[in-house]
Amino acid sequence: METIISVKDLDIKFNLRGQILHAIRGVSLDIYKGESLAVVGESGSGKSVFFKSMMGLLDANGFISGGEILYNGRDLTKITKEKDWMSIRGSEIAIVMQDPMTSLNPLHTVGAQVTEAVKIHQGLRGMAAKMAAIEHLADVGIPEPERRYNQYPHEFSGGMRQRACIAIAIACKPKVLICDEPTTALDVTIQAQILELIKQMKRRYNLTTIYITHDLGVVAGVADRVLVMYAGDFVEIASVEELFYDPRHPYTWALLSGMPQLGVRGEDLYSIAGTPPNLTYPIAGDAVAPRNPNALKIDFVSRPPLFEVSPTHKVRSWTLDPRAPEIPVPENILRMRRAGGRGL
Amino acid sequence: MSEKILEVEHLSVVFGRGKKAFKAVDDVSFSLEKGENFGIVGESGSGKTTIGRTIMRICRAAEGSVKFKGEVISGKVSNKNDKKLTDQIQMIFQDPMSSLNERAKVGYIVSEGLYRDKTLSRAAREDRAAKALIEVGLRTELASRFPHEFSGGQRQRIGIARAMVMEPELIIADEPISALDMSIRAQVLNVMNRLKREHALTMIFISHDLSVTRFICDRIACLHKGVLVEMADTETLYSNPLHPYTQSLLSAVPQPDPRAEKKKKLIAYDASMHDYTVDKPIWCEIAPGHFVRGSEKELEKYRGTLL
Ligand SMILES: Nc1ncnc2c1ncn2[C@@H]1O[C@H](COP(=O)(O)OP(=O)(O)OP(=O)(O)O)[C@@H](O)[C@H]1O
Ligand SMILES: Nc1ncnc2c1ncn2[C@@H]1O[C@H](COP(=O)(O)OP(=O)(O)OP(=O)(O)O)[C@@H](O)[C@H]1O
Ligand SMILES: [Mg+2]
Ligand SMILES: [Mg+2]
Repeated sequence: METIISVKDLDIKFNLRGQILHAIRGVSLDIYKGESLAVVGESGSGKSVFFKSMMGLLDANGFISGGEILYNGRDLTKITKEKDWMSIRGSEIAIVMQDPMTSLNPLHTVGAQVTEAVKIHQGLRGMAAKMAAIEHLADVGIPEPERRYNQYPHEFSGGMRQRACIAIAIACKPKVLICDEPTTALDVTIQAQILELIKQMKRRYNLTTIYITHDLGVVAGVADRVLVMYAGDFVEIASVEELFYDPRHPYTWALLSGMPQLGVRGEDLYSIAGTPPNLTYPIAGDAVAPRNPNALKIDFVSRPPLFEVSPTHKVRSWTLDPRAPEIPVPENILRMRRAGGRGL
Repeated sequence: MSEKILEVEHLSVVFGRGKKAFKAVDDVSFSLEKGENFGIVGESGSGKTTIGRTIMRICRAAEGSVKFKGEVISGKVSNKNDKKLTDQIQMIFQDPMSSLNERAKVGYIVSEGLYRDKTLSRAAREDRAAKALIEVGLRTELASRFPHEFSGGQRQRIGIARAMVMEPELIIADEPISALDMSIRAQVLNVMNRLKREHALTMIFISHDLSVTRFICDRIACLHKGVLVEMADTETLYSNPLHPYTQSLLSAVPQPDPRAEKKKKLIAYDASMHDYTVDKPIWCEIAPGHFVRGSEKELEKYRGTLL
């Protein structure tokens, strides 16, 4: 498989009123051309920061303090001028942001904003550009696109604004599309429609897609590969089947066990005790350890390496070390394994 | 006989007037028994929040009525009743960020509703606020903090505590967990489940996430463009949906199982499939407790699939 983005030992920090917040802690990842990668993890784990750094969109107090991001061989961390980002943003890598209101310009009609993208990235002019823009609005399921074309963002409902952002991103014809929680505000039918649309784009243009989401059901439906993040680190990377039918990291077990789909009505859902660590302090050992009831002594001392379960499956946990004691696998997880036909 | 807490009968809600009049809720009927968790699902704009707001008496019923413990509460009520209802029916709002007063300390936010009761001493108020905070799993010393010092899940729990402190008989929870991340969702769902178990709390749970309603609701009503199309206990609705709109919603629910997802077929719903020109649709109890909307011909077909 051909690599399109290669991240090596990336470190990202923020200046926070005199303190330093270490948001991304030395991570490496190859993203393959045409794949669909889903990213999951608790709020604050660094999902948005990690992918915004690939587009030069970190907040002003944030900076890359180490490592490299190679895009088709070019190191994006070396870009210093806003002007140089213009050749990347939109046409190479496009992003649909978590909060659609902040990425739409309230002073221009939605139609004008889609048309702008069409003009810049598809080279169309005049009526042809407008027609293409209306078609993109129709593609993302906006009803009466001709009429909606002339409306301002505040006249759209939350779900429609999100779809408008997707239309703009698609109009840029990017090679990589990053969707940061693209469907949280949408109801299931429209969500399914949008996900189907992105999948079609992926097939048609060999688009590389990255989905950041809190919905593991969505992950199962769209991803080829899944990345689990915790406290600015990658704790598990696996093919979608390995992640659902053979997850290995205790943190992944906890995330999966908390899904309402696995719950029994009237009984408590599994929920992870504690809170994620404060990233302004150094983290010793495995960041998950304080919340892992089966943590080992070494977990509090030394950061585990990435253990390889299969060529596509890597796990950062000492439980994978051959010397580690067996720990009990939650019943829910065993059931998922059986569902995947792997048995025990 | 179990006790009926809430009866919504032929409720319609209209926004605007004259030519611009728009019926957001159209002839909706359902009732809730004490201790029940009743879900309302449906696409964006179907009128879920409007039903909640009408029960809260924020929106006016154009037709039909809402009865709370046997008394009509839509329309004019006496001052005494008004105060009682304000206390007994509470709403939890969708967005934990914007629904809390940023400048007030959490202790005040949670106890605010209690100030209406002039006979309560300050100590009694603080005591009840503390109890409500513990109830939702927040330490009482957090009462002196401000909302922005809390995580999303903690804020949502503050919203629940604020509703619980009134010891309400009915809670309307409008998309209470949509804005939360997955680990916090589980926490908040557990809090709600516990309140139901321990206080026999009656709840209307409004959501577009059908995997969550399946987990938390006893009974579910499915709303399409202001009209109820189906209502049944949760297991019946999920295992035997009759109305094509319900089927379409359920077919779209993402499953955390990649192989099942690959095979999944979306069922599209097109309202023009119904021919209601002559054979008008009715709201029919097709099996005990299972209601569906359809014309005689459609109901005949649905009955066939039930056998
Ligand atoms: N401008 C900033 N200044 C200081 N800290 C920041 C800034 N932006 C992000 N952070 C911190 O970086 C960490 C990662 O944030 P990020 O937004 O990537 O989380 P996330 O995984 O996307 O969470 P969510 O699911 O809530 O969107 C968090 O601890 C966050 O507080
Ligand atoms: N105050 C209002 N004035 C005019 N129209 C309104 C008002 N409130 C709601 N509506 C309209 O009534 C319909 C139902 O809205 P409602 O908020 O009840 O939907 P909902 O089912 O809660 O949707 P969502 O899932 O998006 O929250 C929508 O078409 C909405 O635009
Ligand atoms: Mg984010
Ligand atoms: Mg609503």
